Amino acid sequence: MQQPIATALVGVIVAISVTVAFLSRRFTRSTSEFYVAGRGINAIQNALALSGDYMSAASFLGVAGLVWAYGYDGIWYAAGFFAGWLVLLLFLASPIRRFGAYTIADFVAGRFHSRPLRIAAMLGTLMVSLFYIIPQMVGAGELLGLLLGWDYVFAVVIAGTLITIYVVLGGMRATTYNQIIQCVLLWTAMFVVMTLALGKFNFNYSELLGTVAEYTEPGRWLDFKNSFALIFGLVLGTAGLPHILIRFYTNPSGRSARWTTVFTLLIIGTFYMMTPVVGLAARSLLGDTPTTTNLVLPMLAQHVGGEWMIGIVIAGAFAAILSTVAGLVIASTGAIAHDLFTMLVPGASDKRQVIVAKLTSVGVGVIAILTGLLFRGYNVAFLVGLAFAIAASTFFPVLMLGVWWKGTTEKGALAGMIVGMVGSGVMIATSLLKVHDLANPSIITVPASFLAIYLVSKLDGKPPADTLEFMHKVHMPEKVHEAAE
Amino acid sequence: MEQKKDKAKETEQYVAREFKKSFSLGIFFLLVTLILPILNQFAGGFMLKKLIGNLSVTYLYSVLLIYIVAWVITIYYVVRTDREEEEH
Repeated sequence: MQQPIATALVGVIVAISVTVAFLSRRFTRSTSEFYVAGRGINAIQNALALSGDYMSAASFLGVAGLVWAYGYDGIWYAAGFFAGWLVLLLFLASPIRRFGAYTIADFVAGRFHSRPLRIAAMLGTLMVSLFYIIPQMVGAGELLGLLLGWDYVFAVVIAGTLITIYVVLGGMRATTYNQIIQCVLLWTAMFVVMTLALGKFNFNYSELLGTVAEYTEPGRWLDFKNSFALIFGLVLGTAGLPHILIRFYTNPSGRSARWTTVFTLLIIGTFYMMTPVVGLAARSLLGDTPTTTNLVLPMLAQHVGGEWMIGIVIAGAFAAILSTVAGLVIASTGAIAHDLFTMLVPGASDKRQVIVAKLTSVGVGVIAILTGLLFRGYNVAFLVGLAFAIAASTFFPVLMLGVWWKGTTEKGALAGMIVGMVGSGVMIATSLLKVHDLANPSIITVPASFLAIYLVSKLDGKPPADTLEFMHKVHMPEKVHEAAE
Repeated sequence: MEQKKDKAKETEQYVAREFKKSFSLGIFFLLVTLILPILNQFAGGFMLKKLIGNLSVTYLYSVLLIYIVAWVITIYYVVRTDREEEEH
């Protein structure tokens, strides 16, 4: 299928992305600029960028597709993706910003002064980011391949190369501005499709539901156990995603980090509220026509708005993929070029660190392209769900207890991270091998990780000597710190 | 020394107060979210009751109520925390 309008719009996005990166290139001279945009991103800018970062192909294409396929049970994903943000706001956003580092490993290592924990956090970041990158690249290949007639390999290489170019050229600053533009584009695309689709039902939500009544009831896909486990994993997983957490470092203050989360909740909340309308409208208008869940939204767009609409949706999906992968590339680059490199080469100059970061981004970009080629055909939303499970199990318990419980010790934190990381890995592998039918393991591995941290810390009984100073730094308002200075 | 002890005590009290606020709001929201599959399982008849036209209780809960509760908690928490930090 050739789509001249869609091809032109994708071309425009490519041109904008590269221009933004080119204009931002002077902002990558220091590590602070490269990783956290000099901590100069205000709350509204950061909320838009975070929303773009967070709403991936899984949100843009996947949720509407799942609602089309399973009706009400697909809506769990929308609610779960959204609900996690509140946990992030209440427990982690402000303390993470006040700590003021570059990566999650920095935060964990800063709390416990531990090399093994830095390595574990680095590995966890890479594991989560990789599980997240794979479905985005697969999505890019399938989408551009099927809808624009591009060869799958060509599409994956184009997407991966473009992201790498703008991360390397413009660092976090270019990534942020691109994510802002991409967020506006994908939100608007969803809004226009929803409005046109609802127009087919006289703008009457109830009339739409009446045409697909059997799809508005639970139970077509997930049983009680799995729906509970899925919500649990998605809610806690959001608060453990490294590429999301590090964006809070770009805020100027803890207060600004909180307001960022408020605006993000408004942007993504309104977005996820639209997805059930679109999914159910697709069920009503297209029936069983779509062959794969990922193509439901573009097909609906074509049905309700013709070639222009499908063009806008393809551009929106492309924007969703670019913005998320760029965030993941920055997070993975930080894990390797900052966490690992500064540990192996202590005292390396800032200039040298920036060069290493840029070279690492190229390496991560190549890995993204290769995994995209390797995992062709894998289910997009399912893989993202697994990334959430690993994030929830590996990072959420250690961050939560590290921030709030002064009794947490280095050994306890390490035990919790290992239990979470290995446990979720084993549970996912055994689920794929059909040893059990629990699709999302967080409901077991998150409590297990919390328990491991608590028990080992109690047995150990030696929290770091400067724990209260750490607590003071991450919890007390900025003006207390300013007064002390 | 005395000053250091005061600072430690102040931090502990502040963290405890903040945790109480975040924890109570967080638990309330988690209950609102996680109770939905439980209600669907054990109070299916009520949850499928149509409330407005073809919109059932469970449908409105999942596409509207969860979002509204989250927004209200968010605004309440951020405004309250900003005020408390100003007064501190």
